[in-house]
Amino acid sequence: MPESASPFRLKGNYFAEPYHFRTDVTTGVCRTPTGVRICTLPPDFLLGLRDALIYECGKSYRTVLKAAGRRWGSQWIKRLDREWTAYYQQPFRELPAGLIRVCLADAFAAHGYGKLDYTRAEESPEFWSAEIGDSLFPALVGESDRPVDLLMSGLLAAIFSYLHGLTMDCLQTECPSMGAERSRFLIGPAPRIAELEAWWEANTPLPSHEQVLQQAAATPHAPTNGQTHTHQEHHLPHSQPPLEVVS
Amino acid sequence: MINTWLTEIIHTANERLFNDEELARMLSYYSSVPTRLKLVEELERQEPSLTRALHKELQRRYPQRTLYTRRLAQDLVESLRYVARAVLADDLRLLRYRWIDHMRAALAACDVDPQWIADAYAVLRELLQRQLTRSVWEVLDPAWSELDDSLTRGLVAATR
Amino acid sequence: MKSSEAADFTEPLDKPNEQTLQIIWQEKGEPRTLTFLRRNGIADGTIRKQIVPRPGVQPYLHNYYHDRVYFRHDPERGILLNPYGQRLMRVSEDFLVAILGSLEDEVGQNGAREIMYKCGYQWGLHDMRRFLPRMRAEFEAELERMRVDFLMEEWWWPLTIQGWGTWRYDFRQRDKGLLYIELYESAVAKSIGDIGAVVCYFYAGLFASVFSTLAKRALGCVEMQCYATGEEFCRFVVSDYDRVNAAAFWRNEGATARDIMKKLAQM
Repeated sequence: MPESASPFRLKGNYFAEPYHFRTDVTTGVCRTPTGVRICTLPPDFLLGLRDALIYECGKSYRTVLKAAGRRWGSQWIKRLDREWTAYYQQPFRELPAGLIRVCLADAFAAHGYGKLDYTRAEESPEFWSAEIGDSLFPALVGESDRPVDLLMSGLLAAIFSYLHGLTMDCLQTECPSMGAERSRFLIGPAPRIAELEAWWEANTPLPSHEQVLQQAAATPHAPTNGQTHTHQEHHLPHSQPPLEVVS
Repeated sequence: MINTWLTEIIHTANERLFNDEELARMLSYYSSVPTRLKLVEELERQEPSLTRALHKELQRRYPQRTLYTRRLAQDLVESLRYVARAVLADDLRLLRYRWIDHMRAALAACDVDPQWIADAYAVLRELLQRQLTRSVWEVLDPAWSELDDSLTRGLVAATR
Repeated sequence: MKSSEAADFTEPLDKPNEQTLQIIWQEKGEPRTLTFLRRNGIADGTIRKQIVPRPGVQPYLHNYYHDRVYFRHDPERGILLNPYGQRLMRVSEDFLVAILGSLEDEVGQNGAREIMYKCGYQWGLHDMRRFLPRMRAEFEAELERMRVDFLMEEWWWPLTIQGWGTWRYDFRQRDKGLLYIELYESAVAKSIGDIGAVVCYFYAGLFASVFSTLAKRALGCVEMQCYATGEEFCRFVVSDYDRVNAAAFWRNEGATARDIMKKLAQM
């Protein structure tokens, strides 16, 4: 068994209590045991929100929705951190990384967001590959020519930023609304994600998740990491033609 | 969170009479409630001393295994509450959703050998053996076997 | 219901024409939405002129007024469903605060209010599109003879179980074309707290579209008082646009809900 700095803990699924989400029908208020109010969003609300944003903001609705997801996520993870810290009787961030992942997956499943999983990218350890199975928004929206899981994108960016203590961003690389099996995301330092996003958008057809990972591994980054360049070059947006992706 | 079999029966019956099957299930459950309650009370009573005893015993038997911290021993003893609840409701799904699924995923995610946790539960069982009566063990056994099986049959699909 | 099937794109989102509203009434029932509720072998598939009470086992489960029956959770897949087979999403108060905050940041306060109202309006239209056929199927009767308060309560109560608060509506002045609604424990207002301005725009849009659909003509809704302005509960008025605009104007001038109601009655 690998030596871990963080001692192993086991406390079960925090949310799998019979009355974790309890609604008082006389007041129409649903609360968790810690007193937090929970609202259940019907799909009609989410579609209405999307319709209204598209109508009012046009193409920039995507930025707005992602920003909302991010803002929400930064509060949500803080709250979860407090609750889990109280639950485990030790700072949540000091738990083993694998356990943190299982807890987050439990949280996603309990709230109906789908099945979350993530791993560190092997070739570029500052990046994380995340995926959500049965994600809600793509299931609601149906077909689209761009990824639609924007709230989750923002949410994941906020969660990872909080847990790692740096500004991270998230790029959705695959979406069920575009034919993929599940929503897949790349999460990494914000400036690198911005570059990758620009590169990704400039390519037709849009690169797959694996191709984005390859591009992330190939592109030069902070001088402290001595990674060698491959034959793939890094093209900046607006200045050079889109990269011919070599699979 | 899922509904237990009893909640399901009550909600689906609603405007009709219970059928024979449902009646039989409920009657057999009700006759075993006193024993189940006894188990819950006994486990609650034993909890504080079990934690100390478990930690001590694990350190004695497996001194090289740094996994067995005092906190983990306490976690494992506290897991008996979920076992107790599943036994009280006579619904193993409660144990699965609250404990087993999470445990398997956590062990895989943290690269911990499930056999080590199985060994810890085996020690716990020995400590409990002396405290609980045979009739109480009979109601506890299905849940305990479920727990054991989940650890010893290996991890299926290490991703969760 | 895909959002691409929404009404004509040139139509303002919160002012549908009457044709759109009529169409909602004619939506065919989707039997799949009642799969969880149907008791096999009892319903005969006929839609009667009005609800006919019958003894014994009901063809559809009607009594799902409880957390345990309403929410169907699949922990393996991380999916939450309601009895109509729709996917739901649980969020804490942070979500509503974040939506309001980021909308204000991106499009300003007025833009944010517009978007929230329109979101509520579209929400109501999507909801009504499903609700009316579902009522027809679940109670096996035509909608025309159903009592309005029955329809209203059947429509509202899933929102109660989902944690959006409780309500009371006042139709006593419907001959004057004025409908008043009281909302308790507003999810939006209680999350945001006392900020000195009304915030329940989602609800306002929702009420507007729902009552527009029921009345088959375009109505607006404005919030006259709110928990976020320091009151105990929120109060809305649903009426045609001139009156609703007037009410909004008076509210902005500082009139209380009572004053507004008096003035509207005199209009």
